[in-house]
Formats: sequence, structure tokens, C-alpha cells
Amino acid sequence: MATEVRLPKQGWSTEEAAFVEWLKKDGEDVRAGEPLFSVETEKAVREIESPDDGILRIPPDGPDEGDIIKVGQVIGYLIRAGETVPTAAATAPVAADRPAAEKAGPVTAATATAVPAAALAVPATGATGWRAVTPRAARRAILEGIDIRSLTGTGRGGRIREADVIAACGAPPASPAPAAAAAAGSSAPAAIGEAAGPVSLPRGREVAINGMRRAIAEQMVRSKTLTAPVTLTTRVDAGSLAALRARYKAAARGPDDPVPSYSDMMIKLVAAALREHPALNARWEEKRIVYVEAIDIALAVDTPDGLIAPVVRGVPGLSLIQLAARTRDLIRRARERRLSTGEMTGGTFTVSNLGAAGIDVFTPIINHPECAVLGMGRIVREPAAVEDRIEIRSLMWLSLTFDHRIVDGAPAARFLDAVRKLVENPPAELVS
Amino acid sequence: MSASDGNAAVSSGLSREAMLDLYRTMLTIRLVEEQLVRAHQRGLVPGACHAYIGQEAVAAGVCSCLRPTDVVFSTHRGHGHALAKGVAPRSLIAEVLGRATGCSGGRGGSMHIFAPEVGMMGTSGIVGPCILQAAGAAYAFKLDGSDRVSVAFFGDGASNNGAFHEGLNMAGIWKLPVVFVCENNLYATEVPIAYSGANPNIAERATAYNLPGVSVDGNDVLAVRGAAEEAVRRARSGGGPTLIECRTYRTRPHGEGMGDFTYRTREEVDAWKARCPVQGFRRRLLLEKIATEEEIAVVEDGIRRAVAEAMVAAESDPLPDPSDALRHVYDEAPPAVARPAPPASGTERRITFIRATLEALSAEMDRNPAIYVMGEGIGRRGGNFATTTGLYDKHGPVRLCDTPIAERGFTGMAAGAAMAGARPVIDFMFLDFELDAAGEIINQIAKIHYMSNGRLRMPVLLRGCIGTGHSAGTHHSGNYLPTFAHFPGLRVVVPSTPYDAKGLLARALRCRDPVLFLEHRELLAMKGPVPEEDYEIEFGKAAVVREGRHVTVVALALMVHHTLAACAELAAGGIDVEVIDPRTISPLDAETILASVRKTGRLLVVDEDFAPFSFGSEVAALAAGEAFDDLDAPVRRLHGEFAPTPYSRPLEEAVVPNPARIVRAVRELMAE
Ligand SMILES: Cc1ncc(C[n+]2csc(CCOP(=O)(O)OP(=O)(O)O)c2C)c(N)n1
Repeated sequence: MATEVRLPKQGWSTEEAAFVEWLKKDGEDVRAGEPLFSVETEKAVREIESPDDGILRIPPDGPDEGDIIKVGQVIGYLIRAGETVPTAAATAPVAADRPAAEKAGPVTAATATAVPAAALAVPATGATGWRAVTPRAARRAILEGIDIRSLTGTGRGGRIREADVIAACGAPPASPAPAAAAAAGSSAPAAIGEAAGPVSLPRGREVAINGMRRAIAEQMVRSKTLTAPVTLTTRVDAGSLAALRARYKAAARGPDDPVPSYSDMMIKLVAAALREHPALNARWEEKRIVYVEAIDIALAVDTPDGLIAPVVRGVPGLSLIQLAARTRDLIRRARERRLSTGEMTGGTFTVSNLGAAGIDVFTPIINHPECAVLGMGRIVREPAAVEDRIEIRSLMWLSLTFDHRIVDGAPAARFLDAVRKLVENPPAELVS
Repeated sequence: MSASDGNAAVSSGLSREAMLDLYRTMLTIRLVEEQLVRAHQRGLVPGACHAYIGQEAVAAGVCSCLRPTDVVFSTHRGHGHALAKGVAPRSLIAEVLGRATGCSGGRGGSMHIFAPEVGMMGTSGIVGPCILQAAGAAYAFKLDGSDRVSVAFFGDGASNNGAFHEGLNMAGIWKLPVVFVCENNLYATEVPIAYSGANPNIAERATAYNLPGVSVDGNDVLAVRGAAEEAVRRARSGGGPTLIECRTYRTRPHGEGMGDFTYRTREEVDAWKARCPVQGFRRRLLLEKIATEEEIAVVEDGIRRAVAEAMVAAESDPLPDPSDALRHVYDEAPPAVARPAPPASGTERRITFIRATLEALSAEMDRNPAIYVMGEGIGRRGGNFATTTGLYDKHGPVRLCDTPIAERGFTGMAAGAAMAGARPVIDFMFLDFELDAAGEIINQIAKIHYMSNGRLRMPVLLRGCIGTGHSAGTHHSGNYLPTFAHFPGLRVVVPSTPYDAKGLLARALRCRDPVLFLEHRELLAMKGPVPEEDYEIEFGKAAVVREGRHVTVVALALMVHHTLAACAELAAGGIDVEVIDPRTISPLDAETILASVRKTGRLLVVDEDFAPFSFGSEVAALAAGEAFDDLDAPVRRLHGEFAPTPYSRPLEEAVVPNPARIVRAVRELMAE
């Protein structure tokens, strides 16, 4: 009896994943527990172990890279030597003409004629095989040229809504109502060039939207539509930080010794400021605001595949050196896409540093459902008025975006000012 | 006040021509009815036909006393009244045959014969309302100061109906110029009056309402005419109403095609046939040498030929054009909005909802003398809710008429008054009380413009409070919107602000269709900006009360305000709500609702009323049907709970939508 290879459940919230690749070849011997294929969920690529010993049989209509597969969906078989091959080459040409649902079934030569097609269809699609789509979302998907099967629904029970399509295509919301457009079109012929639909848009290289891009897009849209963001900026004298960094650099005994980055220092200082200003150490939930005891701060990390924000847990309990070691590990694993979902969620605050990119001021976007995000600009040596003298100082802009639903402007401003003071006079116990 | 014996012949006072006219009328009725009976047997009558054969003397005798400008209101057995009042045989026959040339254009048939141009104000499929309508027309005559007279014909069966008692009482109070003619043919369908009347002496019932009641031989046209002459004179001269009981008999079954001898004997029928009013009068013409056999034969030949020709002509008349079926449900040419609404934003002055309606009513009453207001306590007291404050002093008791507690009665009267040219405003206080008048509104007021083929107008304003709150209990808290919005012919207005209330009431008082103006009790004292000048707001134009991007909420009256309260909280959560207030639900501004749903992709209807078959259902069906492709979530409805409205505050609050429930419903919809 062949063993079905299915996508196992990935944590409590994942219903599906994007297929990445088979880690074994068709016909290869596989042992139970060996990595069999990999999928991508949210922000991590995951290897899935083989459920059994056997010879891998990949059906001709098995998933391709980027295909969304559902938890429980059968994507291949493990057979024993000599066993009838469920989707052998002999049946493949026939299968090609059949409906997709049917050809995915485990068809053996002996049962092919005896088992009704409808029964064979069940294991492939199952109850979770279809997804609800609102009429509006379907229309939008067609207009945008998006394959609806590639979408993840955020509605009840995973229903695909217009916002999901918009998130997938990154288009601005709500074009004029098509009914109105159609009416206008019927009464007067559209001027030449005006009728431009998606077909006539200039084309170029096309990249399928992968799970990571989609997850980022959804997260951004969620933040954009659900939060009430306000950005405050202030300029700080970062001379002490620069001096600190120079000191740690000098003290490092080799490349493996972690040297705290400006971001690390900022995380440490922000944690201290959050202690004093717990109103910002909060998370929005639908019916309540949770003021979080722990101080867990996320760090925005640029990776080749996109933005990832791993969370540094228990910041106050870590020395600056320990924290630097922790962020170094998180950043490395983020770039390798080996972070668990748990390592990327649950913070209350994010630190984002664009200083290295030469940016001064920006409006960072809140990592919903967190309360706020602090953007760090570059450190620039500039003349500054110190009492009545002009001195050269290392100045840096800080940009704080906070969710006005959770906290008001004045307390947020006081928090930012507290950060400024900590930066300008970092207490020794925090940074030594 | 006692019933008198009016059987004494009064032929002496009549000219020969008048005597012959009575004969002509009776014979015409008889011959037309015989034609219709045959037509029914030949299958030419698609519906009901209640023949008047045997009772001709009543219609002929009474109508011989009337002027063309006087009006009659009739029953299901009304061909005789129509012919006696001057409807041409062909026009009547064509109507019964369902022809386009019929006096109601084929809309009505035997039981909806309308010919207002000759004062025939309708036969009726409902037993009773004609009594109220006749009283109402008489009220209109009292109002306009004319000396016209109104007559109600009805059967013995109708004299047991509430309409009879309410109508006679009010005609008695206000001394209305109306004559109540009861044709006691001994049976209502198959039920004898001897059984169904605790006091079968109908004329005596007049005593209860302090008006004269006379009983006459209804088969003696001169006896009927004698009594009617006196009653009409009394009415015309301001002496008030009279009840005339005409003892008569129908010699055909209740309706053509119905069985007969289960409740009466052949012998009884034969005995009455022997007392035929037409033949009896013919004998008298000969006996009193008013006409010779030859002269009568000439008259008869002429009528026979004319009726036969009418039948032939009607039979070959065209059937109505089916594309015509939807005409005349409402006024086809409503008056244009004379004074468009100024923007509310430029207005400093803030007055209450009720004050705003009073301004509109007062201005229109100054302008239009045909308006009168009826209701309990709307006179000197100025209305339970101050709906008529100050108007009594200005306009007096006829235009501001306090009523007995007889909702059906004065609503039925409103129908008749409107038919006779008045513009009644009925103030129910609470819409709950209006249910007692439901038949008059739904069966009469809503339908008469259509049934009369667009010839009669029904400019009636029916107003009352709706809505839950104030621990008013279940008999003072109803909404009932769908009940009325369901029916063709009615306009249903549900304002949510003082500004809208003034403009919509002004519009209602110019609109020529019947309007239900429903005022939410919780809003009556609400203040808002209201321009001083007169203005009208067009029906069927929804207000976009708040613009939003994420979800459309359609709500009425108090629910508009609850929704706006919810919007603030929802906005804090990033949900931007668009609020639509249709303001009128008949007509309903589908366009504005659909445009909003097309924009947002989501629809919640907040409706204080019960869910089944409701305003919410209607709007939901509209969106599902017309905006299907634009929906990004299922349509949701938030309604009052399905229970009678309880009294105690916590119980009451549990059954109606409030801002918190609206917030929850919108959030749930956003999560769909
Ligand atoms: C309110 C109402 N109830 C019942 C009927 C059914 N119905 C039609 S005629 C009739 C009898 C009416 O009797 P009566 O008023 O004496 O008039 P007649 O038929 O004797 O002329 C009845 C019960 C009706 N049309 N309207």
C-alpha cells in the first residue's frame, strides 16, 4: 500500500504553504525522517520529513515551485519495491487528459477500472481543496491578471477578499466601479488609448509573488489600513554612541567577538525608555490593548529576499554584548531564512536602522500589531551650537512612528525625548 | 328619531316625466343586469358578478333625488347605483367584461366601478368602507362649504360591521350631509339578518347615534324616493345625516354562478318576484294613467334596444393593453418640487423634529384650505406630541377635528374626503393605533387611484410615532414599516432629522399619493438646524449621511444616529463607514444604496424592526441582486429581536440595536 505524502500542519495558524522543491528525486529511495521536500510559509523555508520508508513517486501534476499547497494535500507517494506505481508513466498520458482532480488520485492498474472517478477525486482535493472568493475579489483578480489560486485569503475561513488581491498586486485600492465604467463605455466609445486594461500595460520580467513577498505585502497593507500612524522626529547627539562603538571595536579580540552595532545600542536604550514609558510597550488586540510585561524588541533586517523582523526577547536581561551576540545570530538565520514563526512575532516595538543606507529621516511603518517603530538615520558630523560656541558633533535623526489608536501624541513625544536623553548620556549599566 | 313607516305613496308630487324617468332607470338596471347574467352564463364575465335584480327601486328612488355633483358610494352589488347615478350602460358592461373601454379601464370589474365625473365614487369588494367614505366625502363638503350631499348604499350585512357604527356615530356628531341607505334584502350571502343582528330592526339603530332612522318598502320606488327626498333635503340644509332602511329582496343568488336554495326556499323567492319593483311601478303608471301601454312600450323598446346595443358594443370592445397594467399605481405627473431644500449647513436656527413638522404643516394649512387634520386630541390640546400646537386657534374645529377613538372610522372617512377633493391629515399619535385602520389604508387608500384608472386622487397624509424606547411597552413601540412599504400605492417616509422632517412633510402635503409619515418617538425632541423658509425634499432621494470607504451601513430614523455614534469608535479602529439614510422607503432610492455598495463592497443594514420580511431583507436583496459582483463580503443585517417589545428597561434594551451592537456587527462584517 502506497503512503501518501501530504503537507503536515505547520504551527497553529498555517493552512497552506508555497511549495519550494523536492529534496529527493522521483524513484529515489527515502527513509522515514529524511528531508523529503521544502515549503515556504510566512517568512521561513521549511524542510518536511518523509513520513515513511519507500520509493518516492512524484505524480506528473505534482506541485511546482511557488504552487500553494494546502495542509493535508497529497503531493506524492512512497511505494515499496515491486509495488504497483500509483502514478506510473504508463498511466500518465491518459491522466493528462483527465480533470486535474482525478489524475491526482492514486490509480493502480488493478483498481483503475473498478473505482469510480468521483471516489478517486476525494483524496486530492478534499474539503479544503476549494477556497471561497468574493465576487469583488474575483473581478479584481481578473482585472489585475492575478491567478486567484495563488492567493491567501484573509476573510472568514480563508475567504479571498479584494484586499487580498490588492495586497498581491500592490495596486492602489478601488478603481472606479466597473459597472459605472461599463455604463460610460456603452454610452460613448472610449477615446483611443484610454481603454488601456492590464493587457496593454508594458510588460517586462515577471516574478511570481512568493510567500515571503506576499507575507510582507499583507503585513504592510494590514499596518497601512488598520493603524493610525503618526511620525515624530528628533535630532540627537550620538557622539556617546560613536565613542562606545569605537571602544567595543578596539576591545574585540577577533572577528568572532560581537561588536555591538548602533542598532544593538539603540535596542538596549529603547528597552530602558519603554520601562519608563509602558504606554508604548503595548500591543493592539481587537477588543483590548495589552500592556506587555516583557520587553521584546524586533529589529528590521534587510535580507536578499526581503524584510524580516526577528524579535530579541527579554532585552533588559541581556548585557549589550549578549544582545549583540543574539542579534548577530538572528540576522544570520534570517538571511538564511531559518527563523521560526515564533522568532518573528510577539514584539511590541521595532527598531529600524537605515543609517547605513545614507538616510536621515523617514516614516517607518508600524509592525502591526505592535505599538511603535523607531527609525534610526545616519550619524553625520556637523557643526552644532553648544552653548554659545559652534562645535562639530555626531548628529543623528530619530523617527518614531506610533499607533495613535494605542497611545496619544504627548506620551509618545515624551518617550522619544527619553530616548534622546538616553542616547546623549547612556547610563553605564546599560552599555558596559 | 323613531323609525317611521314610509310606505305611503308620494307619487302626487312628481311630474309625469319624473315618474317615467324612475321607470326608465329601473328598467335600464333590470335589462343591463339581465344582459350581464347572460354574459356570465356565456363565460364573458371573467370575475364576480353580483346582480341587483329585485332591488332596482332603491337605487332609482334615491338617485332621483341627487344632483350630478352629489356623490354615491356603493357595494359589491353596485351596478344599479352606477346606472342610476348616470354611468352609461356600455361603460359599465365593458368594465364587467374586462374591456379597455370600461369605466375603470378594466382594472376593477364589477366591484370597482368608478365614474367620479357623474358622482359614482366606486363599488367595493370590501363590505363596510363605503359607509365611512360617504361620511368622509360629506366631511369634505362641510369643509369646503358646498351644499353637496353624499350617499352610502350598503346591505343589511354591512350594518353589523364596525364601519357602520363608527361612520354613523361620527356623521351624527358632526351633522354631516350624508344619507345612509341600507338595502335590507334579508340575507348577507346566506346569513339572514334575523340571525346576525341582535336587533334586526336596522332603522332603529339610528337612535343610538342620535339621527333619524326610517324604514321603507324598498320595492316601492316612490316610497324610497319619498324618504330619500326628505333625507337629502335635511342633509343639504345642514340638518345632518339620516339612515334609511329599504326592505327589499334580491331574486338572484348572492353572486352569479352560486347556489341558492340552501338558505332560502323557491317559494320565498317566487313570492318576492311577484313583488317585482319594476313591474309594480309599471302597473302603477298604467293605473294612475301616467302613461299608456303604447307609450310605455315605446320607452321600453328604446331602452331594450339601447341596452342590447351597449352589450354588443361592449362585447366587441378591445381588451386592455397589458403594458398598461402598471400605470396609475402612483400619480403619473407628481407636482414638481416648488421650493428646493436649502443647505442645512447655512442654518443657525435649531428646532426640534416635531417643531419642524409643525412649521411645514402650518405653512401648508395656510396655503391650502383643503387640508384638515383629524385625530385624538389634535384640536384644542394641540396633539399628544404637539403636532398641531396653535393650529386650532387659527383654523377652528372643522380643520382641526378631534375625533372619537375610532381609528378605522376616521381613516375610512379620509379616503372618502380625499375622493371628494379634501386633503386629510390623519394623526394617529402612535402607529400601533393605525393597525386598527389597516384595511382602510391598504385596501382603500392605497388602491383607489389605481382602481379608478387614475381618475381619483388620494392625497392623504397618515402620520404616527414609531420606534422603541421610553419603556412605552409593546402597544406603543412598533415600527411596522414593511407592512406599509409592501403595498403598491403608498409612500412611506421615515425621516431621521428635523431638517428632513420639515422638507419631507412639506413634500407629503403636496404629493397627491397617500403618504405614511412615520416619526420615531426618540427623535421627536431632537434638535437640529432647520431653515426658516419653506422647502420640500423629494421622495426617493437617500441622504449620504457620512462618507466612508470600507463598509456601507443603511439605516433609518433613530438607527441613523446610533450608526453615526458607532462610526466614531469604528473609525478609531481604522474602519471607515459610509452611512446611507434612505429617508423614504417607498420609494426607495436603490441607486444611492447601490452606488455606495459598489464603492465599499460591504453592506450592513441596521433596522430596528424585526428581521423576517423586513426593510433589511429588502435592501439586502437589492444589493445581492444588483451589486452581486461588487460584494466583497456577504450582506449582513442587524435587526430588533423577534419578540414583542418589552417594558422594563433592561428587557427593552435587549431587543433593539444600539451603537455597541452596530460596532460589533460592522467589525464582524469587516472580518468576513
Ligand atoms: C369585510 C368583508 N367581509 C366579507 C366579505 C365577503 N362578502 C361579500 S358580500 C358579503 C355579504 C354582504 O351582505 P350584505 O351587506 O347584506 O349585502 P348583499 O350581498 O346582501 O347585497 C360577504 C360576507 C367581504 N366582501 N368583505
